[in-house]
Amino acid sequence: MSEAREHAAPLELHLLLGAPEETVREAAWEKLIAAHTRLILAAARSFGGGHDEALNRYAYILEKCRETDFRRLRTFDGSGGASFSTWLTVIARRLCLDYERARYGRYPTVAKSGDNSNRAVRRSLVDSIAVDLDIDRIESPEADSQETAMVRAERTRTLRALWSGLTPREQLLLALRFEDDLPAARIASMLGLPTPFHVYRQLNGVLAKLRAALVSRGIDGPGD
Amino acid sequence: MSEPSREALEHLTDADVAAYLDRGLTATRRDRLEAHLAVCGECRREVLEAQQLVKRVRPFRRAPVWVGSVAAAAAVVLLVAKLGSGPGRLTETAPLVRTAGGTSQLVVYGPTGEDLPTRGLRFIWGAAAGAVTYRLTLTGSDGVIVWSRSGIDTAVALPDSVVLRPGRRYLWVADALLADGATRSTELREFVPAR
Repeated sequence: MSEAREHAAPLELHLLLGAPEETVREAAWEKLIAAHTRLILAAARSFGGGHDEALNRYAYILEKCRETDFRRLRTFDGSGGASFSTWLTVIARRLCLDYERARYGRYPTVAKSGDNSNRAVRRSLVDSIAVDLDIDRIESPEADSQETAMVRAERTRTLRALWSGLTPREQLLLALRFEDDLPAARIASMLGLPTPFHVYRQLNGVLAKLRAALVSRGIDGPGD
Repeated sequence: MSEPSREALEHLTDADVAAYLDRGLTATRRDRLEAHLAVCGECRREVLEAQQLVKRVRPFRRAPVWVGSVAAAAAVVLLVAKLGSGPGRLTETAPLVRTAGGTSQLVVYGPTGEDLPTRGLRFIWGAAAGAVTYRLTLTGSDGVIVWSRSGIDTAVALPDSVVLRPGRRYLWVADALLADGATRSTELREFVPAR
């Protein structure tokens, strides 16, 4: 098994967290912030609201980073696979969310992933897959007889079972495409694929696999 | 059909998100995170938004250091040399040339002059447009930094833990780091606590 990629923490962070002299720690703090000011500012600005509001968030981030003897900064683990700057970007963004929640109430998010939302996501995903597979074109009420409803239910059950047998990456690919409706370029970026064409190729591969599995179980499109 | 494992139901931590974006995870760990991402729209959105932000800041991850402070240190050294080389006494109005680091634009409100208290001093300067943070540096006449502090305010009080020697000459300078990475600074200012 491969190891997680290790990233060295900045020298300033080592000094900040480890130096016994307060003057050294203060100097390290200043250098650390100076080196990452743009990053923190970008996070503060990404929530909108104008210059003053961005500066308030910026100040909040610094305050929280200093809090309890730099408790947050101490949690950075260079062996965890993230560089310090990426990690700090995520932390800064999280603190901005906390700031917004504390100031204006809960920041709008989608539902937490419990059993019900999992089912909802998968149901939506399965429906999307069904549409894409062209097996669920029962549009007119008169066509929705008891028999076609049973066939449709069977297809949905089968698709769900097939979906749970996919690899995590294949499941994520389908979720990004059909649940989030993201363009291929955005999906490629998130999954670390070189080009959108790689997304289409993998997507076609997964859909072909699902289609073949449906056919092998005797389910073959709307006409059967 | 099988339900997702307990681990797949747990949201990604900040460290998970960062490592995922940096492609620094083991294959096993990545599979676990992606299994969760496949069923959690909240975490997918978290990753997508964080990724946008990381992309935005990546070209300038390393911001310029406090060039103004480097200039201040250089100026202090020059000043110390000047003080040590002759009887001429530096006054508040003496023109000081900062050797680098931008224009000296910050207005100084104090303290300057002589016979100042040794405790409870407040350093106050004018705000710079677009400043995101300030740093105040206080040195002795020998150029050794006595105290410094960074923050967003344009006023800062000298803590009681910093004890100034009566009759000794002190210098201070405030630097502003602007949002565009440029710096602005006050002139070097001098004061002498009362004996």
